[in-house]
Amino acid sequence: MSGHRLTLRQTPALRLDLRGVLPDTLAGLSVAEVERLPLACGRDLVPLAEWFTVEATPTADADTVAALHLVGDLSRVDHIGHQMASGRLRIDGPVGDGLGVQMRGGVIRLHGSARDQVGCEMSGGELHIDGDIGDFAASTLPGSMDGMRGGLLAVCGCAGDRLADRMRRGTVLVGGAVGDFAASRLVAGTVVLGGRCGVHPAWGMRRGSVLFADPTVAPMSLPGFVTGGGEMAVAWQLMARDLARHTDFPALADLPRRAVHRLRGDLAVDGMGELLFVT
Amino acid sequence: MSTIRLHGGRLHDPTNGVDGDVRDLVVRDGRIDRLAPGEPADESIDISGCVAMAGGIDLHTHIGGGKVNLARLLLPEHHRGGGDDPCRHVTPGTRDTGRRYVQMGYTAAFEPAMVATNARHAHMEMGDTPILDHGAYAMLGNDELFLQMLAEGAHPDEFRDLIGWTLHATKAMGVKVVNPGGISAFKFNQRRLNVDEPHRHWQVTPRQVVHTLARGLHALGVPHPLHIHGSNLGAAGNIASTLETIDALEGLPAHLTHVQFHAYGNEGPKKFSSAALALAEAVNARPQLSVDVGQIIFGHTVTASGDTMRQFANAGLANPRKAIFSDIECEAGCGVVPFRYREASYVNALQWAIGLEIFLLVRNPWQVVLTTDHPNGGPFTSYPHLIRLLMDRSFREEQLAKLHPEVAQFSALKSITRELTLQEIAILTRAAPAKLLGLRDRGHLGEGAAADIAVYRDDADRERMFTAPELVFKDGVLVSRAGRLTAEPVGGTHFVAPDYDLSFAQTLRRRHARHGSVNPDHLVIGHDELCACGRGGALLPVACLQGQDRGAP
Ligand SMILES: [Zn+2]
Ligand SMILES: [Zn+2]
Repeated sequence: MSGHRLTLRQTPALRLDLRGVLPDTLAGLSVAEVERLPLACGRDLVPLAEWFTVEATPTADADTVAALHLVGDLSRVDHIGHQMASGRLRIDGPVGDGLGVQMRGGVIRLHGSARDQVGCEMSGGELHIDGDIGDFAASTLPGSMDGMRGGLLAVCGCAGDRLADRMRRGTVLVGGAVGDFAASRLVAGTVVLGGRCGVHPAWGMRRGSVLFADPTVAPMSLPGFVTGGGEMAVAWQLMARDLARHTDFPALADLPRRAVHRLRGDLAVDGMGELLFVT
Repeated sequence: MSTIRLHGGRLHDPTNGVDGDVRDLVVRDGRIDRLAPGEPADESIDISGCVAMAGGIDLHTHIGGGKVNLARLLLPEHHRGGGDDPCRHVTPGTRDTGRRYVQMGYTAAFEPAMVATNARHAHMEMGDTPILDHGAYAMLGNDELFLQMLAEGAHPDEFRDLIGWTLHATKAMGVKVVNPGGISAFKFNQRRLNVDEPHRHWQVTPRQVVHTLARGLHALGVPHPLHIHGSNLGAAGNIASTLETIDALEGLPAHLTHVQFHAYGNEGPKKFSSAALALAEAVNARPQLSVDVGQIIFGHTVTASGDTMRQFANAGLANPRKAIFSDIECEAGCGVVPFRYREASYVNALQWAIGLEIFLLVRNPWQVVLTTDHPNGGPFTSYPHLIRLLMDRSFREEQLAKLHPEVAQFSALKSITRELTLQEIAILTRAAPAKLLGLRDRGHLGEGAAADIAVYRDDADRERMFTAPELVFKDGVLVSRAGRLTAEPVGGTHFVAPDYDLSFAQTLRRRHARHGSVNPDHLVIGHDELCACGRGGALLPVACLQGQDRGAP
């Protein structure tokens, strides 16, 4: 099966909206057809070829997965991978807002950084980023009641504020530091923080787990959280081994051999969540 | 001065006793006129096969002021997902609100709950709503000053002047009281307030609040009587409070709003039953009363009300689970709760049936106005559907059969055979609201009336008929043709300017200096400012009935 490589020729002056340009949507199209796809640029619709050079990229016959490759300084390009359901999307270069919003399946690999709302309301698939991301990743779009509902968001760099706000399910891994209100109002799911975090982590958390994987981050005193409760050696081993699989995050390889200190909360809501500090 | 002659259409003009007669309609210079013998019309339009009525008038629809914006802010997800229909949002923006009303043949709409300190915002927002004429009722009865005066036993003249000053300052059409005393009582942690229950702090009762306001408005000669959103909205058994509120009026005229939400009994296994008959009997026995229904429509909407107390009680039913509650300047409050009315819900199905029962049981159509209390019972865009429910019994029964089985089987609605006629619909949707508001040159097609005209293609499917009229004229200008807008003039502002004792401003300044945070002189909206708020639309003062014999209550 063949795929496409789209190379951005120059940085647009206005925001460019890449909604609808997805691996499986483009899979059956010729280069000429892809070039004619309408893109929203500011308030106008322009053909894709106005901004991108399109090439077909033949892949091995056995590979049945649709592939799409985006190249260039895409920092003014928003909504890449919006509602993506299958296929592989590789991006070389920084991207704008809304990467992988409401994604349901497939794999996105971003070699670069992204702005706000990465993976908002995603419910499946994998979203790997080796750079930094902005605010509201894995959280809700304005007005919605639920954030991320499934899948994996793995960020090697740092994340901004409100990471995983109202998240219900799935896994979020961040290798670097995160901003304020990380995992706020978390309903369920697992959030792993490899570095330091800002103020009010897990504020209003109902259930779910937040793991502080950096042993130099000491358990902090948080209103609404209390120490201990229950035997968890077995649960921790299962979780630690699962997380150790993520080879992009070497720091996690060691987890099965470490112990954790556990806090429960946020008691202001249901208090069924846990904060785990690697010791 | 060009003239337009509409000929061949059947006219429904209840105010002038015209019931389906084929007559010419002549428009000259924005007014309805007639041609001199032998005078040719500049333009002649054949409207045979059509029904012509005055433009529709919605006397209770939340289209301006703070809480509508809160409702829009609370539900940004309704704007998402593309598509062509901006009215997917249950509280569309100002432009879409104006356009959609006009596309249905409405030419005026009135915001019922304007808080005095928000009056400028409300007028600006309505000014931003194109084509429609508009006006608003100022909220009184929960503000500290009124309650304090009532607690101190102030003279009736002082209340008359407070009301007069408020109408003057806010450029309102009338006064609405919402949960009399209850919004304030909620701030003192009272969670319900019956008609004869004292407010915890001020020790005054809703009965006193209602009576005082109704009397003050009557004394001022304001054409629209007190607009009452009664106590215990939405609570099972609240028919008792509704009848007590009617009783509190002691014969004074009043308009009871969204009465569907106030006509509940507490009988039956679920302790929730229809009290539509009791309400209708009370209205039928009192010609000085009028009601609008606040019909619910199944589907998603958002309830936005000044009734913080009752909205708070319902917050657990929010769908999706979010809500906004707010105190407004110690004057009023508001609660915004998104909601979904479901056919399978016993309570919602019964509410639907109760609304229709009220429409059909009130004998005199001049006493009942068609509303959904937009957006509280459902968005105004459902009016054509509601009209079909009222005019078409078999359609009504088809819908009833889809509801919660206990309601479908036992509702009194099943035995009501009445089908409203086109003439009665013309009363409910234009003639009666115009009369109740004192708009003498609107809501009818008589000579001299404003040429606000809706021409509907006659169709057995009344929903289709009322969805997209063939022609809509606003002040003689063709604004919509078959559901497509052809012009977008600026609407005018209706307001009253009653006479009151101007020295009351002194009293007000003294009181505000001691207790208030706002200089009351800054609250007063002048004519130039009102004109600017309304984007230069016409100012349409409505005459009060002073000096005329209004008859003793
Ligand atoms: Zn109300
Ligand atoms: Zn209302």
